[in-house]
Amino acid sequence: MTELSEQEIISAIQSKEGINSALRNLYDLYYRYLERYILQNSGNEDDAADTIQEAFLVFIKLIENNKFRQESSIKSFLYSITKNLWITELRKRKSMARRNELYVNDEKMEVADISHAIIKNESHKIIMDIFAEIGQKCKSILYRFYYEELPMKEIMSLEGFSNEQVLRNKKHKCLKGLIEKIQSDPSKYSTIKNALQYVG
Amino acid sequence: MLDERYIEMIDDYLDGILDQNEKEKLEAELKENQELRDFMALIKLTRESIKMSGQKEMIQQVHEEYIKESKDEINIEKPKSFRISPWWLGVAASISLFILIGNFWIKTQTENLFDENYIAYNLPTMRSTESLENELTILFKDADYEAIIKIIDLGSENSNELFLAGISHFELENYKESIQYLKKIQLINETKVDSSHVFQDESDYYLFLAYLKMENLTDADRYYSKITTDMNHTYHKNINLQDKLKFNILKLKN
Repeated sequence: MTELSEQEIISAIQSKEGINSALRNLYDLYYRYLERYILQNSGNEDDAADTIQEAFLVFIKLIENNKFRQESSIKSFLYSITKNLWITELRKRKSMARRNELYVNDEKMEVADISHAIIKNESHKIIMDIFAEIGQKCKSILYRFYYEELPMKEIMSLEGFSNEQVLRNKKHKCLKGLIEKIQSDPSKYSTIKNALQYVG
Repeated sequence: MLDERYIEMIDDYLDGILDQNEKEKLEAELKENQELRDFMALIKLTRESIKMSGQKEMIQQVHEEYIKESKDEINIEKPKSFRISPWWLGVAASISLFILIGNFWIKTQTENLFDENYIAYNLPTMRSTESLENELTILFKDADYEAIIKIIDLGSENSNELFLAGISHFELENYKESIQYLKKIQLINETKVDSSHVFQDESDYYLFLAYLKMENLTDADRYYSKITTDMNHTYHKNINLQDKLKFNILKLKN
């Protein structure tokens, strides 16, 4: 696979064009490096796989929100995200790495952005889990609008709607149902409310 | 609690399709109403999460593809390492092979085993009130190993310092000195009353590699056995089946 420059990787993620090959490039370049960090800090291969996938998700989100200012390389940016995610996970497990305490390095602005992104990520995970459980029709409509970002006409055709307003009403109804589910669990909703201040 | 009307309005607003009048009204209300601002943030977060569900699936696919190809590559490069047939082991252990290949084989195999297992120690960020430790941490991160070994001598009783010096000697290929420092850490751990064994697993691993590099397989074996027999050892998973086979053959030949 052709190795892309950092700028090409960032552009591919921002434009969604070639995002798959950009991600594959990042995997080829940095997966083992990031994995080593988890393995050296009380994690196993499965922990590394989960954490690194989550790190790539946070990385994409930060790039989309223009929070990667290229003060550091993609490699060290991904490393900081992975490290912060893993620290969060270790704290959850209440078994901090035995010997060496790990702390967030707050020297750069980007690191504050990472820290906010990770707080938001906890809420994203809760919402993604709730989203996975809603009805298939609603899931499909919302997915086509917000992930695939398809034009209204195409969604109408794919989902079997003949009227644009009917589809729009259905979308609003689905979104409302999802938000009600999110608000119905006080403990999960409390986590989400704490993250709202970081939503741009 | 805000009603359904707001979900529609905010969703259309975020899609950029709300008509001008309603847009202005909503923006004015947003300025005044914190609850409405939070509700809009919740809708944004929800829309983002739906998008992330798709991105998560995409990452998962790339991940599975990468892991599969990595495994295939290992199988293509080293097919024999996973076929441990008695015939092959018999030949490997035979006297004639010892004579034929001799020391050169041992040298190349120890190098090979070392290269496969060598992991540069990556210092986690340590918060310390001691200025010397902070200084050493910075030097280590800058890979200024020469400076570190000038500052720390074997008389130190501080395991953090001893470990940094041990790894610095290791990086400078002063394996004999590296061993002295790493062993001092283990000595401190042995004499501790409590069970807080600082850098115990790390020192085991780098002692194994240092002895391997010095071709002292008897001592390397001591640490190798500790790592491979203890499932909870931090470096247990770093030594795979292929490494085990190589190391056992090296021992046989020694």
